[in-house]
Amino acid sequence: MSPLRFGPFVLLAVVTVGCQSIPTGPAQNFVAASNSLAQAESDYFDQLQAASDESHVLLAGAIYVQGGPKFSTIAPELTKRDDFSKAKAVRMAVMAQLQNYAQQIAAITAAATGTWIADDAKSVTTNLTALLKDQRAAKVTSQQAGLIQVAVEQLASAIVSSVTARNLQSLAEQARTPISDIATMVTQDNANIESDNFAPGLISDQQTAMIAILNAIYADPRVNSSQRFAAVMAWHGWKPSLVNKGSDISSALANLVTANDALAAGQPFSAGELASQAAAVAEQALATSSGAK
Amino acid sequence: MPTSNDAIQDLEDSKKALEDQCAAASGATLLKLLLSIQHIADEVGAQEESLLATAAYVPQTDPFKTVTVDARAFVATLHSIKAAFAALGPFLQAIDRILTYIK
Repeated sequence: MSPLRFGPFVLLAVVTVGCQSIPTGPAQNFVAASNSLAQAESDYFDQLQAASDESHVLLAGAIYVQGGPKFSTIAPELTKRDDFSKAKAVRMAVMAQLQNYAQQIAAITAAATGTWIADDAKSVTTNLTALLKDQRAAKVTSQQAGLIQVAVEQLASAIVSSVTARNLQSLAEQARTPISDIATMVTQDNANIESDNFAPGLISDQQTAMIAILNAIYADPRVNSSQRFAAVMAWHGWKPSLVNKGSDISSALANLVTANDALAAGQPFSAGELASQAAAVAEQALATSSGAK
Repeated sequence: MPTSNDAIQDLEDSKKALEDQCAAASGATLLKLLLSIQHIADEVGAQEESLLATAAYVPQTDPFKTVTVDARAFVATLHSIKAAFAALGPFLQAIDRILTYIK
C-alpha cells in the first residue's frame, strides 16, 4: 500500500480544522426561552382575568352584604365581568408563531447532531474496505480502515456543522426583527397593565372589598359573635388573586434575546479559507510521502 | 388612551385619602365612603379590556413567517444531505459487485 493512497484521507481528516461547531447550547436555550415566554404570557393573562373576576365578585359581594335600596340595583353588579380572552388570544397567536420558528431551530439541531453521520461513515468505509480488497490493488489493514472511517465521519461532520452554524447565524439575524416586535409588545403591555397601576389596583380592589364586607358584618347588630368568628376565619384563609407573572415575561424575553444573540454570533464560515487550509495540508502530505519513497 | 396613568392614580389617591379620613370614623361611614368610590375593576376594567384586545402594538401578521420558512427549508436540506450520505454505502456496494464480475 502506497502512503499516497491515504493522502486524500489525510486531507479529509484535516478539513475539520477551523470548522465551526453546531451552537447546540444557544439553540436549546432559544427553544426553552420561547416556551417559557409563551407560558408566562398565558399565565399572565390568566392571572389578570382571575384578579379582575375576583375584584368584580368581591365588589358585588360588598354591595350585596351592605344591602341596597333595591335588589335590581345590586343585581347588575353580580354579573359584571371584563373579558380578557381576546387580548390573551392575540398574544398567544404571536407566541405560537414564535414557537413555530423555535421548533424549526430544534429540528435543525436534532438533524445536525444525530448519530447518523457516524453510522453512515461506518457503512461507507466498510464497503470501501471490501472494494479495495476485491480490487486486490491494496490490502487495507483494520487500523487504516479505522482511519478512513474517522476521516469520512469528520468530513461529513465538518460539512454539516459548518453549514448548520452558518444557517443558524443567518436565521438568528433574521429573527432579530420579529423578536424586537415581541419586545415592543411586552413593553407596551407592561406600560398599560403594570405601570399604569391597573394590575396592582385590582389587588387593592379585592382587599378593599373584603374589608368592606367584614365591616358590614361587624356593624350589623343582628350578627352574633359566632357568625363574626366565622367571617374572620373566612378572611384569614383568603388571599387576593395576584398578577405577578410580569417578571417571568421579562426574564424569558431577556433569555430569548440572549440566546438569539448567541446564535447570531460565532465565526463567519468561509469555504474558501477551509479549502485553502485543506490544500496546504494535502500538499504537505504529498511532499512527505514523495520524500519517503 | 382611556386608561391613563393619571386617571387610575387619581382613583387610588382618592381611595387612600378617604381611608385616611375615615380611620377614626364609624364603620358605617367608612363602608359608605369606600363603596362610593368607583373602583379600578369597575372604572377601568372594560376600557383596559378593549385596549388590550385591540392594541396596535401586537403584531397582526406572523412576523416570524419568513424566517420560519427559511428554517424549514434548511431542515429539508439537512435531511437531503443525510439521504445523500446514506446513499454512498449502496453506491460503493454496487461498484464492488461490478468489479467482482469483471475480474
